[in-house]
Amino acid sequence: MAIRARSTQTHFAEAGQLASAGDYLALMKPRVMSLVIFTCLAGMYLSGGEAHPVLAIISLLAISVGAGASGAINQWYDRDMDSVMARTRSRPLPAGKIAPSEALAFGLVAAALSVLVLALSAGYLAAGLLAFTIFFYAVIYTVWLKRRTAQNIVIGGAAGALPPLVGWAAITGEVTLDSLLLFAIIFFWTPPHFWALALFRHEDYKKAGVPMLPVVAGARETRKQILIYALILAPLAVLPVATGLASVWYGLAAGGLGLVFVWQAAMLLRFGDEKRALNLFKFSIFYLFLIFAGLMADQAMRGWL
Amino acid sequence: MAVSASKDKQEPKTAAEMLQMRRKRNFALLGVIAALAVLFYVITIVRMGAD
Repeated sequence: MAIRARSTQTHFAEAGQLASAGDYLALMKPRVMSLVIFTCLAGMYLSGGEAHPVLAIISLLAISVGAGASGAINQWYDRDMDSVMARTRSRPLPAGKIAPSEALAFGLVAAALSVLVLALSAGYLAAGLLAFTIFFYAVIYTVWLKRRTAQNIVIGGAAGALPPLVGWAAITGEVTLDSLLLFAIIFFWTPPHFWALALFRHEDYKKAGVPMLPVVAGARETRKQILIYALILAPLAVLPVATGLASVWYGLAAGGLGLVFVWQAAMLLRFGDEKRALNLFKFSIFYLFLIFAGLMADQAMRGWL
Repeated sequence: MAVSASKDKQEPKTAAEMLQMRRKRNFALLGVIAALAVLFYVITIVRMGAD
């Protein structure tokens, strides 16, 4: 009986019948989704365009589901690597809670539906950009770059940087210099953020065979690259003042935050301990949140004054 | 203990329990399809109102 029960259970596990709703949510990478929702919302708000609030909420929902769908396809493709790394071992696929075919089907259906809903609620430009974002993350980054080059997260970072551009296009129906600037801020923020993580997780990446910069070029070169990107990012985050997207007050705050980022990167290069890498990783999340929250607060205050 | 309890909940022992889980998931899928129908309806009404 016990053997029979076990074989039935295995059969159901293979068919993905043991998965709960929470497992499917985990498949969509909820933490990445929350960042996408936040930066997309910022793009929508900063666009200054007028859209029906119901359509704006539906568009935000569609973009979030699109991001989740690309996360599901990413987890389907990376399930072999995820089972090796401590950070990802408990994800639904390596844990055997969702069958690979189910994860792929879920990701593809969610991706198609999110693009379709966005096309209806916000138009073809935003939907096309969302489709490109999903394709870029799931195919260009996950399938092509991630296992091949140490520049994986530099180029692949474009996928994570696109949500504010999609949000902006969903409201105004256009791509502008300001929305491209929001894209550029996240694009140049991504490498120092992930390389700081890779510095204290490099053994994990090495074991999984991911050619992250610390694994391929060593810790010192990675710390040098982090500083270079921090030096590009800090002035870039002040540029919205020059284009008129933000006020001087935002510029002062962004400049101060940028100096802290550069200082932390410089100290990491000089001393090179893992604790500083962890601190920089945590600060980078805080930094991006404050930059986008600052841009929104600045625009809200300009509306009141 | 808590971990083992939650594991038991995740991994049903009998075929009947598994069928119950499948039933639950089918209802969840029905909910998603119904939500999509409502979503398309709302988009249509709002867009018609805007035009």
